[in-house]
Amino acid sequence: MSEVSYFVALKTDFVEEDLLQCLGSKVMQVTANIWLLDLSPFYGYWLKEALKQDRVIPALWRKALNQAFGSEEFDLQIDYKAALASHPWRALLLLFSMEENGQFGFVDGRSNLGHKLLSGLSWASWGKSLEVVSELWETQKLPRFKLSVLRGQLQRFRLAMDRLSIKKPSASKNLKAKALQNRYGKHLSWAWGWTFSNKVEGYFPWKSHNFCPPPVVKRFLDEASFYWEPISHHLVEDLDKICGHLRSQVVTRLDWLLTFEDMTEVLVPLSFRNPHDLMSEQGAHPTVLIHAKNSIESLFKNIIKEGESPNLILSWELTLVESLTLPMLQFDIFGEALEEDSGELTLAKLENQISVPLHRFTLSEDWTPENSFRQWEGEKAEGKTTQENASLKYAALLRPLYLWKKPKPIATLKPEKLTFLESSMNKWWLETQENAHRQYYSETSLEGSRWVFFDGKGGWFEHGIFS
Amino acid sequence: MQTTQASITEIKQQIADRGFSINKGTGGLENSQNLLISGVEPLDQFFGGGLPFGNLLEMGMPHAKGGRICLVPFLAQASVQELWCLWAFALAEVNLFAPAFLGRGVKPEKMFFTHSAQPIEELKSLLLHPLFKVIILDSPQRLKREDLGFLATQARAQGKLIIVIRPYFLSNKLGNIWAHWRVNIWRNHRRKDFIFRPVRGLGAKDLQLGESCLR
Repeated sequence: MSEVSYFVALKTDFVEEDLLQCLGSKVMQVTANIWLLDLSPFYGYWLKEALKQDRVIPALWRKALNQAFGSEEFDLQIDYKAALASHPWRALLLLFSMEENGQFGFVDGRSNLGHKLLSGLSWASWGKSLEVVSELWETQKLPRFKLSVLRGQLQRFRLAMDRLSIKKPSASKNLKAKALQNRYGKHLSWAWGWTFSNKVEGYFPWKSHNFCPPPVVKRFLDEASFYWEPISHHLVEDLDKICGHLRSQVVTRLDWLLTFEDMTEVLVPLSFRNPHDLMSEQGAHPTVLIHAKNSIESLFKNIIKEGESPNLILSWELTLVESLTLPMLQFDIFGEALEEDSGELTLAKLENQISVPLHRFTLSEDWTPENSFRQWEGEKAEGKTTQENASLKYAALLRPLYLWKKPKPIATLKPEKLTFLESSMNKWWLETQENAHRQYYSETSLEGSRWVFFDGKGGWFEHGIFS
Repeated sequence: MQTTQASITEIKQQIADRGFSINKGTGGLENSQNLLISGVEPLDQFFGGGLPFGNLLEMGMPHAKGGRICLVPFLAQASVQELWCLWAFALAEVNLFAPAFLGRGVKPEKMFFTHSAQPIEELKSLLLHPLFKVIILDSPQRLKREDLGFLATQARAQGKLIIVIRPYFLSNKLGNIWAHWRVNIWRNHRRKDFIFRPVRGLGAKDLQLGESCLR
């Protein structure tokens, strides 16, 4: 599936911990005033908010950041810079490019302005970004990494680019990351790869920021137990105690550390797909209890399976690990709270009570089957029926309902059983692509019908099932 | 102008003759009998006008036999009517190919997909809530008789349409008293048509549906 933008690089001098958690709880401090936000865990939540308010997600994030770090009414008062991209490295690049161009506010890397800023990015900003990331590698003691060596490699790389009269990174976009590795080292080649693609390997030095010490509630049971009833009763009490520490936050993760009779400890993370309003369920906490019960059941199921007598729970420690301070975005033009729920709000609550994620998909303008769809981001299908879209829809009619996660090689095939369906060319210019040229057929036998292809190297693969 | 008007009236009449009306808000086809229609006339006729909400249906569709595609027109109509739909599949080694649904007119807004081998445990809250009106459970594992009872009860209580797809052909040897209808569906690759064979309910006649009807 194609890439989604989850990472925001934020530069602001006005740092208040609650505000930094206005979009997501995964926050990293890059420098004294630059922060990276990973919004992927709450993407589903923001999607629902966007649908509810009939906006696109970046517009909602812009509004939230304006509210937290600037003023909605007067653009002049916006003195933060925020850049949205599909990789933290690219978010940083975009941020430095914004700085170079004196741009304030929120810029989406996929917008025209975002593209323009990234294609106009100078070598100085690219180097500055690498300097920032390399300091993080150094701090995190990345094995076989030396800051002085990378600095030397960067200097030589810049010199080479100057000699070739390549004025900016986008002018040498086709330069492959692997080609740089031998000459300038793997760390520089990682950064180069990330500049233009997400699918390039490499370690980005993400380190989550620790906010103020989280509230912890300890419980010692009067009698060791593995029965759900007394456990749930005490758990509700402890959750109520956690609520006493909350101001306006919604909860995204609680850690439940269980101690058993034999003094072994098991950590049960209670994570929520969408921010969960713990305070609204005070006294009962059905959502947390569903999670906790499922975890306890599977824990004891495993113990019983192994044929051992149940190890009873002696005590626990409940910690609020992640929380969000959501901005007040749900107001209409008269300042009245929007009460109407089109179902998205109910869905957000239900998603917190189920153990598997739900997905919505839309078409992506790409011919390769694996990349021809992506997560739906709230865009309306109307008005988007381009010629490409129509032909992609037609191609989809000849393709099966299920695809194997990875095409499976087939030893032999009888040609008389094959019906030709389509021919497609993969993105051969990308290093990670396999099976560049594919001739797709439906292969029919007594067992049924399979979607197979013959690749340019002469191999046969099963790619899907006509279920 | 008059010709266009006459054509519209004629189309409306044809739709009305089939017992449907057009929803002016969504543009989807509706009927008053609480049925989910596919818009494919022979298919709807076979199912007595459409698939009935408030019921559990069981369908035998072995993998690679092409039967599942016959459910997509129903989902397309449900999504046009803005009904919340869920397709839960159990096969672990596969990914669902969403364009095969979207290309057949399923709108993305309210069409959800999930991988769930044991939906009764994993999706219980969704099954108990009235939000999702159409739920398709593709090849659920370890589904006991009482689980089928639970599904049938929830379908009736919440007005849902729940379809359980089995990865094998159904027979009367192993019955399912909770399912309103039981039907086997597969594609005949030589004749290029789909066969619908009732196992329980729906009379005794097979339906042979040409492939082109589902395009």
